[in-house]
Amino acid sequence: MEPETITTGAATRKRSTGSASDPVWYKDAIFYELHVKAFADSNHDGIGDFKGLIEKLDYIVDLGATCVWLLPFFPSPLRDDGYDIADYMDVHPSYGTLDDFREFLSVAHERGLQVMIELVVNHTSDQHPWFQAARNAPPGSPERDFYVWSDTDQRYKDARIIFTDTEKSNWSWDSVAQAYYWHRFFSHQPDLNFDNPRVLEEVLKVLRFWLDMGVDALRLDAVPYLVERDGTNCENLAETHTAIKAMRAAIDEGYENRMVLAEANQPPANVRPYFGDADECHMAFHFPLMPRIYMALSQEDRLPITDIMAQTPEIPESCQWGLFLRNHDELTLEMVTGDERDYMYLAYSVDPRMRINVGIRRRLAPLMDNNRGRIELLNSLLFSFPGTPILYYGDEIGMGDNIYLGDRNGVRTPMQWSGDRNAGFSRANPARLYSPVIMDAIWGYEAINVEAQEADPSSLLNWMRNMIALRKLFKVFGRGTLRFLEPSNRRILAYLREYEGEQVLCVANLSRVWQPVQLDLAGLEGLIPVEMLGYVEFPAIGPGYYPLTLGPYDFLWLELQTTSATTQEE
Amino acid sequence: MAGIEIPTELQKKIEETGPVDLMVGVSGPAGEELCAKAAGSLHGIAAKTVVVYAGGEGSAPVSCPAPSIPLVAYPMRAAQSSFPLWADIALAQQSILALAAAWKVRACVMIQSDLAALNAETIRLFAEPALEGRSDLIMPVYPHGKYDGLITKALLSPLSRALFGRRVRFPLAFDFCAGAKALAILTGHSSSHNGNGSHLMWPANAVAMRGGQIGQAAVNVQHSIQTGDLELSAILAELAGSLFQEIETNAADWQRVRGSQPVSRYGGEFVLKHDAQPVDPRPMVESFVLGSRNLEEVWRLVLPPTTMLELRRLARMSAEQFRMTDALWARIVYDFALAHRMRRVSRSHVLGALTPLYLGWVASYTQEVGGATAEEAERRIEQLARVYEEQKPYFVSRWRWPERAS
Repeated sequence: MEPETITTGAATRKRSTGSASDPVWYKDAIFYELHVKAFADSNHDGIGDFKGLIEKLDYIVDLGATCVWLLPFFPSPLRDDGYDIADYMDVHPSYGTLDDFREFLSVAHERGLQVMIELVVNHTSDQHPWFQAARNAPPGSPERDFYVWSDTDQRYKDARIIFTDTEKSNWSWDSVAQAYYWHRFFSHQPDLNFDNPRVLEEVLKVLRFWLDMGVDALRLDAVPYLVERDGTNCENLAETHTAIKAMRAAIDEGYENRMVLAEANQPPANVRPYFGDADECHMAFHFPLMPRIYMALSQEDRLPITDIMAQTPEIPESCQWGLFLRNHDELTLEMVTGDERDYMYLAYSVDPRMRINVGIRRRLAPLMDNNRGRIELLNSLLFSFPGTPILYYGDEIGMGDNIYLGDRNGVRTPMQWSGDRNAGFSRANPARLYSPVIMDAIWGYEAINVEAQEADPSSLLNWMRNMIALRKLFKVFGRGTLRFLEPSNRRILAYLREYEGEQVLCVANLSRVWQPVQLDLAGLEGLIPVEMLGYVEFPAIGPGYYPLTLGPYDFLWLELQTTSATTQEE
Repeated sequence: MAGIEIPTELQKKIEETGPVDLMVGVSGPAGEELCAKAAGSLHGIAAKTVVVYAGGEGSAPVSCPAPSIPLVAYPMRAAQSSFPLWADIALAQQSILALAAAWKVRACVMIQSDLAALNAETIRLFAEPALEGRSDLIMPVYPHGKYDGLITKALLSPLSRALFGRRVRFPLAFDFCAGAKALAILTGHSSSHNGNGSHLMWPANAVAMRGGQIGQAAVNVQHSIQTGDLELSAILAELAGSLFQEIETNAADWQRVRGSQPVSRYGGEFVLKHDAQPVDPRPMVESFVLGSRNLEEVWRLVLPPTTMLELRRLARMSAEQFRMTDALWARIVYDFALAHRMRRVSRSHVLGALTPLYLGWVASYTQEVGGATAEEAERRIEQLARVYEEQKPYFVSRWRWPERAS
């Protein structure tokens, strides 16, 4: 479809429609998160690019994902893997050009994929022209006022430091400006000053630039930290919500069927305001659930999961949680207690090199000790919990990590496409790759790669494809309510999902050994559980407890069928 | 509707005429006989009726002196499909649906361009249940003998019934009537599932999935054979491929359906023809045996080992002994539908490899019903439909977890 021409005052711009037709498309979506640089290299320079990504879109479609989430691909000094942006309206030359991005977007849309990109507006790179202008401008000038400056590093003392391994303060001295500037992340990422209305104006220009192009969704990075106030922890402030509401209003005013997702690493009750009255973000990550799933598995006890879900508030009808097992960052432990954190470190990071900041920098399969049953169980929870599942590239084939690489780069290694040189990711000299591919005997690309798993009907990749296809058949998973059952055996996690008459009973064994369970299914008498993967009828639910026995890390999805729909005689 | 633009002149006419009760849409160009047939068959059924037919470049409008029923030509788009006959009908049906929506009709009777269905009795049988709100969609049951319409009997009807849950005998009929609710369903279904408009319409399946009421009318309509010189394999591939595509598109819906329900009947008992000529099954068995030699490579990619073993056993039988069971045939159809979805083998190869298997079932059927009456053959077809239903869990299971079955 041809872009529409929009005139605002003297300015005109082209506006393309998004690709989705359902306003709440994200509720039924399967997100697939990837780095352009890590996915496929088309020009053999050792760095992935948009043309390479375009060639691999069929793989994403075949997997069953419906929305591609691109990590930052903008011009950047790349000191924080692109989250230090130097130009919001262009593409990093290593990944291609704006035209390449447009082509990618068009091809993705043709294949029915939505596209989510990053809106990283809490901070910029210190190389961004705005910051260079600010540090050279006199105090009080409009240019200077784009960032948060101070003569002292004692303001906002109650704000925690997030990158504890590298930063000692949220303030850094700038010798040019002769003042301290505020940064919640690395010192080379100065925070923008949202108290300055011109900053919001510029942010809205960026937002419109990408939405006009046809981008379907934006991930609002580090959204709790937009505004600072003395006497607070500078997180989740009312003024921050005002800024988000302004962004949402601009989206609602100018576009249809787009979505914004909040990255707010906060307890669920603190995330709830980011949905507002359905006038802020459409989606938000459920950060605290993720470590508790791992904890529940390690402790063989459902309590960590049921406890955090009990603390999860209701959200507006049009809103949705984003669920994930792993992502490009560390497995963050900021949202667990001190004891829980210690437990997680002991359980999942034997080698101190596996830890970074307040978390564990490992991929899903290594965290699961490459145990296929555990990997499948965790994915079954991801696909059946209330929310939209988000997969991290490579986890669908059980890729490993490299804890000897710095920062979080160990989980950002090249995608393992085949057993060929450089894992089929690039034809460049191996020494030229942006990151070494994983090469050890267990996790190396010769052992774990897409090509081999596509040829193996029993591979994790084919299992994931089947599970995703199955989930997509049932709207109840993306849209339904959740009710936990409380069997006495706490190694069993059982819950009922319901949506418009569709009922699914999920039962999972968190233990490494067989477990019996008696489920109280009062109110469901007469219904026939049908195991969803194999379409096998189980005995009808009777008046007493419903007994089940589950093998190690087994899970059951049972569609509850009525008996009334059987063949009627003519 | 996607891709259908109503010309300004026609739009103006629609506005002038205002809402219409009954539209008869001819899914193709019509000759002069339309004038007389419309006049003779459409009076007294609805207060306001209009007939639309395909016009376009190179075809003169039907000239009708003082027509009592308005005849309106709609522009016909050129089909891009390799099957021009049915693609033309599919495109015409899209246009008729668009016009029906624009005219806000209460009932729309679609008929083929041979006008065989344009008679007072048939139109009344179709239209009245829709206009009176008794059914949303009325499908025809044509007079048929035990050897007529075997693709429909062996595959299209029982597969549709098992998956979509309604006992419709001719689910792909090009004559049918849609009431307002069915029109809304078909218009929506068509826009969301029909890229270039030439995809065949499966009205009964679409309406069943959206909870519409379906009826069947025993119409005394005989169409001239449309398939001409086309080969059986091409026809089977086109029809089965279209239904397999419909199945893939609606996977989330038909997997919720269990069992099947009868549909309302209009017009008395279905007409059975008793004049069937004997059929020699030997050429069909020979085709099956030849297929088992030449196509085994494809069959092995589509069918599980137990099925392959049964097929090998059948290939060794004499024509007289040859019997393919209904359960085996139903599982074969389900496995082919799955292979069509999985695309592990090209779709044309999959569909092409189905023909000898189909002939195998037909050979068995003809031998079983050779001495049977038309009524007994009907019961035999009902038995096949039930087997499809019994085997549906096999299909759902394989669809959901499509590893190679045992």
